Amino acid sequence: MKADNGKPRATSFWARYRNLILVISIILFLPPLAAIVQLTGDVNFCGRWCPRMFFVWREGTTMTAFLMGFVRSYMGVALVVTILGTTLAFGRYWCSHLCPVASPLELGSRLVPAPLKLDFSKTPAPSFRYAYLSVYFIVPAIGIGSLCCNYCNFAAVPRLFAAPFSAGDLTYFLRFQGVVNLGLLLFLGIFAKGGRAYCNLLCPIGALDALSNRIGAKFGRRIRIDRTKCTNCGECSKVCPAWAIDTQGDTTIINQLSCMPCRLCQGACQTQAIYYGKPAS
Amino acid sequence: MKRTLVFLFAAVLSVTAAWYRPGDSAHAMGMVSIKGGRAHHPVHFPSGKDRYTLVLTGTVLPPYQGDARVVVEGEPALPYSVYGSDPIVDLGLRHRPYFDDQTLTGLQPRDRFTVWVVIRPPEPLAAGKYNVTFYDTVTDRPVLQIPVFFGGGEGHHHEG
Repeated sequence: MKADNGKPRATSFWARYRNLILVISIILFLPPLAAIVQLTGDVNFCGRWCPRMFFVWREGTTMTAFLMGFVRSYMGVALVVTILGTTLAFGRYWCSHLCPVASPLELGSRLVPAPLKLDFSKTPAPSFRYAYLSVYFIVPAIGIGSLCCNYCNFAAVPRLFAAPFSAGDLTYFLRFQGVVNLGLLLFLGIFAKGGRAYCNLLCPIGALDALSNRIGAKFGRRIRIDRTKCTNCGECSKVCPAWAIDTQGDTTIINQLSCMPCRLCQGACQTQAIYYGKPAS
Repeated sequence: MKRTLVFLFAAVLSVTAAWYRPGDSAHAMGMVSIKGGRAHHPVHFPSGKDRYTLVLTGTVLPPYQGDARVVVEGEPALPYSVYGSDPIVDLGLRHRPYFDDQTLTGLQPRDRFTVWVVIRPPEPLAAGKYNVTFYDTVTDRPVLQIPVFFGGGEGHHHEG
């Protein structure tokens, strides 16, 4: 199937309705409605829904207290287990289509004129991301600080949506840490080319999800390249928000440690060399 | 080589970010109970700030139920505001306490709550001990008290 501009168009449900799904995710998970989190009597991703803190060991924590963190954040545990499990089989659909924290950043970045956008795509994202993730785990364990709540995108984005309506949520941003978080969301989200620099560099859930994606790539469905059709034109890498596609000489490769099935590359490929599926046997 | 340098740069940046505490906000946890409640730890703020934000999260221990008014106590008295964390559009899917006029209303056993206390000293505080106290509105007895210390360096303050 060809689009008006002559380019092939990705036709799967997930490709065609991705923008709509991103918007629905925002409506369901974020204020002012936040219907999904209200099912458990919550208003945001803190507490029961916290997906970032339960797996972090802190200095002086007893095993009982550590395990109680799993109980306290039971919805966060369920969310993370579901994300990582589905990613093994199907790829990072949470990150590409469903994450309500990333959705507004990507959609917001599309409203920013191209000359104002910052291009972080030359950054080797996995190196940065896993340095951050290592510190995320190690520093609390040895007791010299924490990256959990202070730099939490799952806290900052919902509060950004609630701040116009709620003095409590506005208060979140009227302090040093809130200003830093707001700056990160703007600098690495709204004003970043593709809107996914925060996801690629600083999201611990995204980092774990990317590991799951890499591990499952040997048997699961992923975005892949048909080498018999690929002309190495590089058009796919220009649109990739995850900076996952690299053309080296006469070979184009997809780094499954960064790729998410947003299908933007599929839409950009003029030879239909990119497909979503299991590895060729 | 580039990857190694980026890894090291990110690690140093992340450790610095994790270590640094600006001291204008903190997070305290506590449990509301009819026996006076229990704070997990006191809060220590450094002196010299013109605004302090304290995020209080807590759980209600059975059999307590009722309404609890939140006040900041200590001498000299400090201007402060308390904000709740209610849904913007309450769909009424589950019971939850709501915050109105400095009071957590409709607390029931095992409820969880969040309040934001913003303290604005008219002049920089050198030192002092204060309490954020939750008083039951019927008995006027404290059901939770969280000590807040100002001054004495960076001290022990948690993520906010």
